[in-house]
Amino acid sequence: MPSDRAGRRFPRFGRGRHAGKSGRGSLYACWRSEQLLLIAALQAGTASMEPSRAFELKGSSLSVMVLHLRQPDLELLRAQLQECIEQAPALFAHAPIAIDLTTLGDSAATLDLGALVDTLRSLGLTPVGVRCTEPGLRQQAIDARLGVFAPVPAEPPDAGAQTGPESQDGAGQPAAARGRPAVGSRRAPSEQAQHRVPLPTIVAQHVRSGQRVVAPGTDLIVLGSVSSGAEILAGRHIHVYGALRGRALAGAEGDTTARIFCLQFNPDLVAIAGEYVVSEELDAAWLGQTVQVFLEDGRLRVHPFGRCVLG
Amino acid sequence: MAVVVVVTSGKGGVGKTTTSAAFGAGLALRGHKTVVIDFDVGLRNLDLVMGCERRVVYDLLNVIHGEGSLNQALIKDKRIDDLFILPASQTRDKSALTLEGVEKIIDQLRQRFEYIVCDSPAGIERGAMIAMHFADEALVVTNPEVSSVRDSDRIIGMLASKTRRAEREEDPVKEHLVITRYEPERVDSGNMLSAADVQEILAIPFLGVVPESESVLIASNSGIPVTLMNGSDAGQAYMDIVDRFLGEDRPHRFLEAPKRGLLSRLFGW
Repeated sequence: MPSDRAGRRFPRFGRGRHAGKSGRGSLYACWRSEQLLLIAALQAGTASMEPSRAFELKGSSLSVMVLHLRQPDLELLRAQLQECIEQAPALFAHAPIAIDLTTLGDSAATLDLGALVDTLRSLGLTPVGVRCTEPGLRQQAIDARLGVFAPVPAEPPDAGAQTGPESQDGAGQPAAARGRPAVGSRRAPSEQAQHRVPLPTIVAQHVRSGQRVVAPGTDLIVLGSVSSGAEILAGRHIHVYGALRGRALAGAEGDTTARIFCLQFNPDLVAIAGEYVVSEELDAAWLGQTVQVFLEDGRLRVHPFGRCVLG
Repeated sequence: MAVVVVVTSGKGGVGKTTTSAAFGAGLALRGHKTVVIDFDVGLRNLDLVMGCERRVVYDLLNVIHGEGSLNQALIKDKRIDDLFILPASQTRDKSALTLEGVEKIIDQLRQRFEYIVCDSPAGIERGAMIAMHFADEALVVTNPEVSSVRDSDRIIGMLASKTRRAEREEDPVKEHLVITRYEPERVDSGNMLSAADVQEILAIPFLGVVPESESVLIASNSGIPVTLMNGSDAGQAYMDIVDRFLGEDRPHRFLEAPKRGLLSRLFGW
C-alpha cells in the first residue's frame, strides 16, 4: 500500500525526457567529454591514430593462478599437485600458471627450475612466468624461456622485521613476537596487489539535485540518497545505500557486467554500458523496492533482492 | 556571538520573504536583537511585508558603496524594539552587490545584533549565492510540491559546497526545513506531498509546517509580520518554528486536518 500510494502521488516525479534510443550515443558522449584526459592518457603511445598499425599495446591485469613453492622437493610436489588437479581437471587443463619462488627462502638455491617446469607441463599446466629474487633462478627462468615478474615491492623495514619464517630476521625472533603482526605482514603482498585494482569511490553524503559525481574506472558507493535531478556515473558498479531518485549510469566506459544496487529504487534514469531506461518505462512494482539492475542479453533487468526477497 | 541565518528556497513564491519577516519578528519578540536584510536587489519586498516601505532612505547598496552609513540604512521597527530592517535597493543593478561589501556589512552587524536574517532572492544566481555565503544556519523554505522540493534539494547541495563555511572547511551550515503553504486536507486526498514525504526526500532537520492561511495574505498586504498578528494560525506556526529554532521543545501542530463535527459536515460550517 505505501509504495502504491507513493507511486500515485508522484505522477510526474523524476520523469526525464529522452529522444528515443539514440540516447545511447549521447550518454557515451557525455561520459567521454568528462573523461577526455583519461582516455588521452590511455591512448598515448598506442596505435589509435594510425588505422593501418598491426597492434595495440594495453596494460591489463589478468587473473592467473600462482604456485607458491614451499619446498624444492619436486616428487612431493608432483604427488600433491596431481591429487589437487584430479579434483577439478577442467580448471587446471592448459591453465597458465605463474611460479612464485620467493616463498622458498634459502632452499631456492637447490631448486632445478627446468625440472620444475617439466613437472608442471607433464601435469597439463602451462607455466608462463616466475617471480623470484635470486639472480641464479632469474637466469634459469630466462633460459627456460619463461617471463620474469618483478618481485613484490619490498616491505617497510619494521614490518619486514616481523615477517614470517622465510624472513631472515624473523626466523630468530621468539614466536610470541611473531603472533598477530606476523600474520598481518604476511598478508601484505596480497594487500599490495589489491591496491593496484582501483579502490571504489565512496561518497558519504546525499547527492543533491544538480550535483554530479563521477567515478571513472571504479565502483561508486553512495552512503546517502541520490536526489531527483542528481547524476552519478561509475566505470564499474554503483551502490546506493539510500534512495536512488536521480540518474545512475554504471559501466559508463562500456563495462556490460556492471550493476546498480540500491535500497530504494525510484530513479530518473538508470543505465549500464549506455543501455538505459527512463523512469517512465519502469514497472511500478519495482518502485521503492531494494533492487539490482544488470544487463542480460543486451537488455536491462531489474531484480528485487535482499529484504524484499526475504520478507 | 551573532548568528547569520539565510532564508532560502531556490524556487520563487514559496514564502521566503514572509518567512524572513515572521521569523525575524518572532526572534525579536523572544527578546533577541535581530536584523532582517533584504538581498533581493531590484525586486525588494521585505520593506512592504514589514510595513516600513515609506521610511526607506538608504539601502544595502548605498552602504556597500559608502553613500550612506549603516546606521542611516537600518530601519527600526515601530512595533518591536529589538527588530531592525536593512532594505534592498529597488533601482540598482544586481551586479552592484559584491561579496566583499556584504562581508563588511555583516561583520559590522555581528557586533550589534544576535541574529542576522538574510532574505535570499529566488534562483541560484549571484544574489542568492551572496545571501547564503556568510550563513551559519539556513531555513530552507519549501512548498509541499515536487518542483519546490527539487529546487530546495539543489539549494541544500549549494549550502554544503558554496558557502564560506564550506570554503573554509568549517562546520557545515546548519540546515532547517520549513514547509509552508501546507494543506493537510489536500495531503489526505493525495493531491499534495505530505510533510513526511518532503522530510524523507530532503533529509534535513525539520522545524515545522506553516499552514496555508488567509492571514498570511492579510498580514502581507497590511505590512505586518504574521507573527505579530493576533489569532493567526500561520503566526502561531511561525512562533513554534522560532521556539524550536531557539532549542525549545514544541509539539508539532497543523500537520493534521481539523476534525469536522457532524453539524459542520451537515451544514457546511
